[in-house]
Amino acid sequence: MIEIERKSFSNGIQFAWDSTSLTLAMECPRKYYYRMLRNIVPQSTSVHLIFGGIYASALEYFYGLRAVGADLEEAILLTVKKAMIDSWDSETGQPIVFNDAKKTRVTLIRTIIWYLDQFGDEDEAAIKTHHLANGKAAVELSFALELTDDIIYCGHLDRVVEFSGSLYWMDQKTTGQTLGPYFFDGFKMSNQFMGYTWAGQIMFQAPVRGGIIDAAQIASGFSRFERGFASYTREQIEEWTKNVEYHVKTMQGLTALGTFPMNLTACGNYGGCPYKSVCSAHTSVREHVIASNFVHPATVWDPIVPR
Amino acid sequence: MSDIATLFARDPLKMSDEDFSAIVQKFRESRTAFTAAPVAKTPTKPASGKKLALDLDLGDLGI
Repeated sequence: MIEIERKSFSNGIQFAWDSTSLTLAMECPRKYYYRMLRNIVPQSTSVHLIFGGIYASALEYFYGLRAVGADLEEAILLTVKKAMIDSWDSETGQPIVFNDAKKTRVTLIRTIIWYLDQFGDEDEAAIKTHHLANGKAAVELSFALELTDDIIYCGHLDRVVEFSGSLYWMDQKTTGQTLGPYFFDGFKMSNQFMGYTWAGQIMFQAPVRGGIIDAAQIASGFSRFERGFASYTREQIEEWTKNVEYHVKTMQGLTALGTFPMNLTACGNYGGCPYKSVCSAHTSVREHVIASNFVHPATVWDPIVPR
Repeated sequence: MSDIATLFARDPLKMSDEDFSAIVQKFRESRTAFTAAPVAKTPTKPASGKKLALDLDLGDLGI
């Protein structure tokens, strides 16, 4: 077994999980093995991850500034500056290559500005950032909580808000698809969002009802936004924790055995598994495929390490 | 005022606050123009009559 130094692992077995590693394990043990144990990713990062990552980081930055009292226009300007810098490759002296018709650097900055103009001033929506008991704004909250005696569940809440007398986590998503009920329906069964709700209820000792999802449709000529809600009953969250425990223990067992079966029904999901080229190759050449087309990411994915 | 292409070609670490303000203004102008434009009717069914694909691109969702 390949050993990589990570705090979320003990004796080669992962004990601290997050929605990313959990979803990998649920999708396909072999995919989990390549991403979490071998720590390899495709050479070219998905444009969706680049775009979505900079977008999420920008909005998190904006709300952090507003939480400490920054003026709206000042916060927008600083956020745009950050996003422009984050989308610039200082090594090449050129913008990051997005290689997509809709998700480009221009549409990224446009989407940020249009979103902040529509939602940035929250007084009209009667949403406000929640503050912790110590007075700090509830933004950029990393958590690592005991799911069971031997499983830690981790994550990162961008922001917790107060709305209509209840607490909600907030998250944002970007897509090239048209927004509508079908889009938000897809989040009803979301490890990420169920995990946020579970964590929020523990961290705040208050009824975190669920979350508010701000979705952005990215088109060539425009960006459009929809706000949706995801709510879960206490029973659904309890069921989710049992589900997590089952899948984590299953994956831990497979890891201990050094056996990682493929889930052949998952190869075509979400635009195609990034490791399909490895699994579909003859066993004798898979390491060559990995050496040619995959790299170790700059940072190791370690769920228990706070962002 | 420089156009968007010129502004986007510059190293942002060397840009001024006025440059970033110009970018914000340009995109606000484009939003005003987009909001004011008549909304085109979009078809509710694919012309082919085939069902739409049900798989969501998780990467497309920014997850």
